[in-house]
Amino acid sequence: LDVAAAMTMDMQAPRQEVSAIDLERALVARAAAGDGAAFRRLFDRHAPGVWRFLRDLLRDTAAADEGTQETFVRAHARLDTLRTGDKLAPWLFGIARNVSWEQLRARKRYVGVDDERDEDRPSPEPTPETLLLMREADQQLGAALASLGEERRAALLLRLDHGLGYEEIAGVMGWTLPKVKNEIHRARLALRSQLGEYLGDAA
Amino acid sequence: MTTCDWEALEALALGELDPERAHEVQAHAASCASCGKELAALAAERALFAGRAAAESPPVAALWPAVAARVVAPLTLVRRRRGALAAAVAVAAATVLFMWRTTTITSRTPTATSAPTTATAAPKEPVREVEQALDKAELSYRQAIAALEKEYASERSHADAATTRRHEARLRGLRRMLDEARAAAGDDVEARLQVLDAYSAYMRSVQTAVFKEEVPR
Repeated sequence: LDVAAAMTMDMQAPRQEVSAIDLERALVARAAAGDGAAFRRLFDRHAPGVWRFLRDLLRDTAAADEGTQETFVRAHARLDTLRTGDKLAPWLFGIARNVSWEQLRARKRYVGVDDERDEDRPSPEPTPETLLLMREADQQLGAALASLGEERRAALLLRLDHGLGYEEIAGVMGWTLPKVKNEIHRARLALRSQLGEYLGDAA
Repeated sequence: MTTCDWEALEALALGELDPERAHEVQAHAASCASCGKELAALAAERALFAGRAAAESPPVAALWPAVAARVVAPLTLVRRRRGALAAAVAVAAATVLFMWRTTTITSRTPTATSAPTTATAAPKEPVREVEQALDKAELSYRQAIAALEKEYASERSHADAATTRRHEARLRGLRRMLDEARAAAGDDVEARLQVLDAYSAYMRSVQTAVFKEEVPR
């Protein structure tokens, strides 16, 4: 996208003619040029999704808060590396994924179990406080997700919760396309076996 | 769609197909028992995730100030640093002006040598001292302008073409005025003060070009 066009786009073009993608590209171009207000708008659009992704990976709201902030600070510093045509959301999830990895590694070091390979071990149960706030179906879904390994859960959430395509997920996870499909398929089977009643026992 | 295509069913359930293709896939699922069942499962899955997302409102507004402090504040800092540079230059120019006025007055006033401010004796070569101050001020301006021009060169690519043209035209005009003023000034102190004014105007314009947009809080 021509930067000059991007800078003036959402002021000149009639609102309904500016597609969400074009608007986003314009905002990215302006934010990369140092426009703090444009960056704030990108934050408002994407921070909720990034926060939920991190909360689901880290199973901890305070860690999700911190991770979301770190993700956007890093994103801001690297905005000019975003290529024309790249979608912002998958790129942000990729950064968030790295942030969550770092947090999990640090947590492991802190607990002192860094000699164990526990990437694929299920996460701890959600706290009673969190459970109280969730509807029953959400609780069951949360529990089913928590029973998945961290990476498989991340891939499934990117597809079903955040609407990324398989190729985009491959980019975020650093996996091959067949691996993405395989992991999501397995995650789905696990979910269906646990959530049969909520899925109309269709599985 | 006449054959079973699982990925098409999934895309349909996630609302990713265009209306025409969606219609085709739906028609197949309606006539194929296993695809119909799978589509129902995929739709239920989608509803479950959507319901969970809708039930939440992540507390992200509260997270913005800390992000802003780390990304927007540094920009403001750069701005302030540039402001400080300009202020230093202004002080240098004011010093020249002050010395020039003082020297003019003292040299024109017969009682100047007994003035209390010159208790340690009047400067032996007041004009030379003014010239040194003028040189110093000019140097400060040149350094400030070089720093700003470097900044401008690196930011120019981000600006839109019309704005860049406007800035360039203005800068060219001021640069020409500055060069003419310098060429005409020679050793004349008044003329050299005008050169400083030209430097100042040019510097302010480069500054405007660099900080074309206000950094919001």
